[in-house]
Amino acid sequence: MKQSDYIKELTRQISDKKMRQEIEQEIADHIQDQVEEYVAGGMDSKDAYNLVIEEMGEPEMVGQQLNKIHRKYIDVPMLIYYVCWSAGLMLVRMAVSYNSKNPEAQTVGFILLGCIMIVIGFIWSAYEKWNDLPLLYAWGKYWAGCAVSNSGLMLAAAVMGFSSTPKQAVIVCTMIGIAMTAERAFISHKKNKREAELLWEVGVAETEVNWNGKVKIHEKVMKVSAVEGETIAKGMPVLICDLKGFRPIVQGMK
Amino acid sequence: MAVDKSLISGSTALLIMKLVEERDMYGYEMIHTLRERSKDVFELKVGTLYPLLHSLVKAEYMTCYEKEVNDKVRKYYHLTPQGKKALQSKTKEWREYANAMYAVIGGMTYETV
Repeated sequence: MKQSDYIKELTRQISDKKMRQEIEQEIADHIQDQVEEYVAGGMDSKDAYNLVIEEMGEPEMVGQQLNKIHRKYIDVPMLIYYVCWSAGLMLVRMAVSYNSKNPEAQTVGFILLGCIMIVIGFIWSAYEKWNDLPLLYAWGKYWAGCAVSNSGLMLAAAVMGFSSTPKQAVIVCTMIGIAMTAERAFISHKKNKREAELLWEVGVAETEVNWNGKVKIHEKVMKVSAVEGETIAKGMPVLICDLKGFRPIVQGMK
Repeated sequence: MAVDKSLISGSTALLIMKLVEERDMYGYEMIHTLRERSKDVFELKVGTLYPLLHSLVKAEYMTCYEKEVNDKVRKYYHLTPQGKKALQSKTKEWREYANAMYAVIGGMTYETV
């Protein structure tokens, strides 16, 4: 992988534009410094680049971790995505209605669709925010054979279901948009607060901890998970290094 | 949905905060210094360091600023008073645990010999 590809892959995960530029600069400088050191040590510059990139760590994962840290309350890319889909689906609905022979039955169908989509959409939106999923993600682990969707699309379908004219669509789209933004901002706020409270705190394992277990932190016992693949024995000191949803992820201090 | 992976390993946060307590540093300098001082034992990956640094800034344990040195603009990290306090209390906790570990391991060694 080339240096520019590595940085692109990494910064693609960062949703905050200003932060993306800052991180791009920081990582590029770092690569440059490390390459210079290797070259000064007698290495060919091309080999040095390749080695540095190899040592950096998976770009996508590093980018996602950085993105989580710089999480924003207002999800602008999500809002744009949602508004575009709302407009697109509204055009589809108008085209369908134009040729319809039984508009009333169709309206009932659309309202039903809207009711289902608004419920699923809001639940899904909360789930996405809770787990810090990026704007677009694939179902399952790999892209092949998986559908890509998100709550923005579901809520846009709800807008289409509830509006029979463009004017109604604008009103419904605005209302759902505000509610969705408020929901996501609320979850971000809660998560930030919990992270500020717990991240980097030290505790003791009350039970053996693997995917499930209990630790005592500041005299408070809480349910946690260990870092993937790690098992921490009872009584060992642990450090909270991440939060998955609201659940602290701990690592043994050794 | 494999998004969450741990940011740091063990006590890396403490090591980094300790380094920055002595003097303000930029990311590359930290990796370099840590490697040198630990005689190649602590090889910190870039993919670990920057998420860690950024989260320490967010936790207000560190601040960062840009400074030009040798025609290059560097992003320096600085430990805040809050960070210093956290470092002290975490170092103390860490020492207690380490002592407890030594007590146990030392006792076992004594018995087997």
